[in-house]
Amino acid sequence: MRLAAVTLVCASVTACEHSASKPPARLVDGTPAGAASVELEDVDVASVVTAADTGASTKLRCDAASGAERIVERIGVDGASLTAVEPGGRAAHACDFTRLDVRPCGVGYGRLENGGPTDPRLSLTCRNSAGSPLAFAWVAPARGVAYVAVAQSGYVEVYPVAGDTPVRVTALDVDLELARARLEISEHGVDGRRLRAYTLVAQVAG
Amino acid sequence: MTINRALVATFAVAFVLAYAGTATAYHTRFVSDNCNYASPTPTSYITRDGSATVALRARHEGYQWAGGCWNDNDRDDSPNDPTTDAGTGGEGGDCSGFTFKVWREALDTSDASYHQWGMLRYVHGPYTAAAFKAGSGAPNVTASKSSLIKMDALASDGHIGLIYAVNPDGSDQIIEAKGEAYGTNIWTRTYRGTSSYSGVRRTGWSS
Repeated sequence: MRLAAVTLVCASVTACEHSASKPPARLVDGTPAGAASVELEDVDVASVVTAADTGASTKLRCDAASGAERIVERIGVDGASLTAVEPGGRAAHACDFTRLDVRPCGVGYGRLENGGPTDPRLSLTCRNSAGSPLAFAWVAPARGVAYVAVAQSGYVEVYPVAGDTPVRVTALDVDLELARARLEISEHGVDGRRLRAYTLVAQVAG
Repeated sequence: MTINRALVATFAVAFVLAYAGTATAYHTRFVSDNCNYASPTPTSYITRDGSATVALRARHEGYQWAGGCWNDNDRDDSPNDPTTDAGTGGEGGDCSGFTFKVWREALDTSDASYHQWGMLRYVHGPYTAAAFKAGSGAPNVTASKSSLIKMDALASDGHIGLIYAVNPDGSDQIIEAKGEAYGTNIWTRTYRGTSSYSGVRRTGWSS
């Protein structure tokens, strides 16, 4: 991903002011939320591991995913998504959901360069079950990353890297006025070691 | 000869470094010097001719990825800034930001009412071209391409343009924020006959 849309700063993924609260017990599809199987370095709050499925029988349905070369379905705490890479790998579609039984509430489309998106393709058209604007954006993990951790209020949402696709993540730190979302991210290796941490400020564009 | 080669090599390295520095540090002051964050003016109606007038004010102005602020001096005040970089602070909207403003839409996607944004109001709105194509948001619906008229839109996953006029041969005059190299203008396009484009309409026109 080009660094134009990304501000890299040294930051550990913590949410100290809410650290006493319990993490969500379930994902958006009602399944129990699991904890990380490895300790993530410098993650000092509870973690919730999201589900990622690269199989053919995904729960989510989206026209943009038809004919895709690779598909990854992700089920998170506030939202779910499909990332579908076009044949040839030069572009990808995203379909974003906050309810799994209806049409996507958001979509995204972006070119891929060296396997990563040229832009996070921020979507701000969804709202979570509490009615708050929910941002969806692609993260392009660095080589060797097994887990992408995104700070949420009082916990960290952990996305396993899967299917050689960008990782579609969610965030509630949204500025509708500026069509912008801010995500505090850390990336970890398979052993939990932190490989990098940064703030992604994504904007709706194009 | 050796000295000359060394000089040439030194010059070449210096040129490359200077260019690289310029490219990475590119930033215009158009947005910071000219744009504002004033509240939009609510209006009780929207007309296609009125929206065309709004769109024409952006004609010959610039293009800015993720942007939405322009003046009306018929030139790009921040030419040749890097493409797909939201942080360059240049003049102009991108295709979806331009459409958002011309269609007088709201920041809240559940709000279908009309908001008159000033030219120099820096705003992009919550929609991408792909979102418009999908008919996302309360004001927007998909529509058959054959039904589209003035100020309806044709959108693909990566671009959206507004119909300014329909040509007798079936092509359209499209007013669109096309890209950094092109700015915002009216071009004859065949989006209507291109399979990757779909019809999109803002609802609620009074005329």
